[in-house]
Amino acid sequence: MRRPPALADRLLRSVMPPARHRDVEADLHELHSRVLARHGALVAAGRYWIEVVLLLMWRPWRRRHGEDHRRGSRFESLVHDIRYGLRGLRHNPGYAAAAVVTLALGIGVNTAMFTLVNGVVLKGLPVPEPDRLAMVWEVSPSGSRTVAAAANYADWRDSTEAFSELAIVSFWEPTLLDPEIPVSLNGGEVSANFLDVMGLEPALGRDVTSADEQDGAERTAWLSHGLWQNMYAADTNVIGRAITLEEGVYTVVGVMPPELDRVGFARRIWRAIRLEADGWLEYRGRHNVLAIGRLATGIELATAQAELAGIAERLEIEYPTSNEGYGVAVQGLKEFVVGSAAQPLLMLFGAVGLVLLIACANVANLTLARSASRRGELAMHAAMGASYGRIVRKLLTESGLVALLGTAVGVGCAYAGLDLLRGFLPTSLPRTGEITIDGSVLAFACATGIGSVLLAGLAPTLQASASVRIAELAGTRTVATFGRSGFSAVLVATEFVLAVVLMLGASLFLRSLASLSAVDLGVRTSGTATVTVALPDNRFPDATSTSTTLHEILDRIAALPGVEVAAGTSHLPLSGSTMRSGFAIEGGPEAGAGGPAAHYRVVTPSYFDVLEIPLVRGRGFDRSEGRRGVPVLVVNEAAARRYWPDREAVGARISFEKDDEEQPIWSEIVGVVADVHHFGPASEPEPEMYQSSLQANEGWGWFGRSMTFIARSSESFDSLAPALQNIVHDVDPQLPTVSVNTLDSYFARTVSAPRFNSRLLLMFSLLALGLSAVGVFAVISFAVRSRTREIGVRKALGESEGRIVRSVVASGLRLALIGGSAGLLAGVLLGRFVESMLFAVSPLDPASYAATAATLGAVAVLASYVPARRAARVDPADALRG
Amino acid sequence: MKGSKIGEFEEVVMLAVAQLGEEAHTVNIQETLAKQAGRGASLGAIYAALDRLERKRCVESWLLEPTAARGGRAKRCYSLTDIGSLALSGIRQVRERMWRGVEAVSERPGSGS
Repeated sequence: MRRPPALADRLLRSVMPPARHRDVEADLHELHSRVLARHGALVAAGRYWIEVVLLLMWRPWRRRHGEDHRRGSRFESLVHDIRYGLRGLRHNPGYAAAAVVTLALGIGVNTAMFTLVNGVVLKGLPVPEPDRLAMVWEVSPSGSRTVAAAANYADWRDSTEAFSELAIVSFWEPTLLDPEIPVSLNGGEVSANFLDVMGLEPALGRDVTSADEQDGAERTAWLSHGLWQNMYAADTNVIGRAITLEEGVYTVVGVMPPELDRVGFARRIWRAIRLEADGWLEYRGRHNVLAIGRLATGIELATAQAELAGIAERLEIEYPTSNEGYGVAVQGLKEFVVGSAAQPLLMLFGAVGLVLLIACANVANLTLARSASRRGELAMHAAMGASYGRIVRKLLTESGLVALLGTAVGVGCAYAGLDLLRGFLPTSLPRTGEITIDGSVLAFACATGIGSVLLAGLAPTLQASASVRIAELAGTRTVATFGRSGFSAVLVATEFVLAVVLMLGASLFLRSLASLSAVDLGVRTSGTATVTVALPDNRFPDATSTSTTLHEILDRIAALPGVEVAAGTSHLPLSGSTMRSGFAIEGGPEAGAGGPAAHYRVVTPSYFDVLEIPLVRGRGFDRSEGRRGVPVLVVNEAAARRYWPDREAVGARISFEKDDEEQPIWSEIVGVVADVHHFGPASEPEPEMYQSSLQANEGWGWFGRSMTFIARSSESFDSLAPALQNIVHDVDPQLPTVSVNTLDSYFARTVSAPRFNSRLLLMFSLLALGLSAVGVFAVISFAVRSRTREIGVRKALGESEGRIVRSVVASGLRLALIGGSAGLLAGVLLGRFVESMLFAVSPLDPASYAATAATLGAVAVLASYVPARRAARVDPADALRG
Repeated sequence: MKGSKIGEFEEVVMLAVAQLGEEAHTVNIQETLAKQAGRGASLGAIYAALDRLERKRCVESWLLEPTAARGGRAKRCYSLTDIGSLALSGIRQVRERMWRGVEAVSERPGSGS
């Protein structure tokens, strides 16, 4: 420490010309020894470093020794280039602001979109070795995936070697009676090894054990982490506390880990599944458990799939009545959690990539325009001995500074815009909690920044320095004028190509959204309020008590002031809930695998009136039909078409339930109603059969004794909602609170994803179009400026202003025509990638193509008109003098 | 021409050089500035000012023979040129004239607050 810092000396030596270095170092050393004597080694070393750094910044030797650019060290030239770049930007604030804002827009939208993609698609699941977790589905004879039958799961579990463990989850909807107004909870039932499979531990208390699965074991429950925090204030004394659910008293023995919510199992309360005690294993046709397993070490999904397929084949032979035609499908947990959300997000991510390319092209153009006006300056550098490489570095550093500022502003925008974006995420989007700006997002933003330096800075730099190179090769030190307009035109045409691709995408998605919204759902959604009530099994064990209570609620709703008509249904259209049932047709096919099947709904007699579903043939339900009368059904047209194609469905008899003696109970079809798009506008209506709520027997138990009431009222929704809640509470104070919705809100949910996609795409394409318009404007303006003299001559020779305007606008249109045609062609090629996301619109939709072409033309005309007007106003005398 | 005038920092550097006489090398100049003018300046800033002053021909520099005290290295010393001396006394005269004007104003009755 007594000697001056050697590293600082070396640094200085590498930067300074040797002639100057000697006496500067002598001064520094003298200073060091003085400070050392007065203040000690630490202060002396610190002072030494400060002096050296300040020397590096001041570099006073520059002027004295006529520094040769090629001899300076890399560091020195970098410092020099940064200072040079900053000075350049300061002297040209217009260019700096335009370039930084353009890049910030491009990088900002890309960062925001990456944050979304990263959170939803890319981030790993918060469990150990998530790649080894897989869902196991059954594949029905119709080819659709369904949840597994518990008995099949038990066989897989006992035979598999590909999975180290297999667990199951089923859904459970208990009502917590402890609060003053009971709360309905969405719960789950799990096998004892569930947390082992997930690789997680309970946050508090103990894990589920096989003892909890036994018949007669104490009733134990696990709270979800969220429920524990919100309802029990994260009280650790909750363990051992008794809670009252409507089916009895449970003891809380644990709190589940918070990670469960983030891997697709966001249930609020848990208990052990009792497969044997509750008779789950007796009937293989009952598909109601989600199977999830951890692959054995080194086993691939495909191996597990092959193994389970073999087991499924064996089960098909052993249990033909229930298992015939059933296969299995193994799916990675990540794919299950992310679902179909990945494809549209990646498409949107691709779209913002195009916006960034356009932004880069624009900045490249701005830089080109700037370097044209700097040719004197560059020629000076070259004349003073700066090499080709040196000039390239100088110009690239300047682009780097622009990109750095653009990245910083862009990340700031993304951060601020993220909340805005969160506001209109589709309701169906999974993992929204993971959408945060983290290290990988920042790394992405930096990479984008570096990429844009190369894209936006390289071309103009090479173009500008090419003439220096030519001069260098020719052995001269003069720099030729830089050609620019040709290259700029190529850039602008490229911008148009990209903008057209985005615009095409946006118009296709908007058209698709319009088609979705225009679909006649077959039900009236406006002016309706809906409320769902589920009655607990233990207090409503039979059809009579269930039916009486539900009809009492309905009667009270119908009697509310302002309510025009009210009805109830077991499965509300657009809510996503359904129940499919097989049936036998009298004198026709039997029920069973591959036999007739339809979606089964129990509805009150006025259901078709409240939703305005037209009766096509026969009659609707009669209020006088009781449970002891002849059972009747109404089917929809899709069912009539499929199962009675050649004859009248009305009058036919079918059976979907059996009496105590296993004899079919025949129901007569009394009417056919119009089809309803039950699953939303994008899916075709499927066969449905409706049973009157006055005749439902077993039916109530099949769908949890629940009914959704629909009221059409002249009153506002806000006044109706509390009235509906009060009715439910008055009829049975032990029923949980219910939420009131409108059918319109269900509809909005079904189109929320396509609406999100098209809104974002529209926003991106407008951004792209705006940037391209700026590009055209800049290029045409530059061309007009550099042709002022020519235009002056033309005017002097008698050319009219109109002709000049037309010729300038035509040059803009020419660019649009070239870029636009290429863009439309690219659109044709790229169309098939979005085909699966479009509804009732072909990717080659002529209207979208025409609209895009027209918009592009209009923008090109507008952007060239302003410089064209300026050209037309050129005074010939001034132009010729100048 | 821009740069031909003497800046305020250059002025104090020249005053330090004048004061130090034969001892006018950079480290001493830096110390004098710190002690008498109360301003800390880095060696880099002082080199830059001295370079500018050399170009304006206000100071000149030469290398002293290497001494053992400086690790056998040569020492660059500075002194004022005639142009530098003239420039300094010119600045002083201007300042004194201006100050006399200020004092005359403050002595006039009614001009004080």
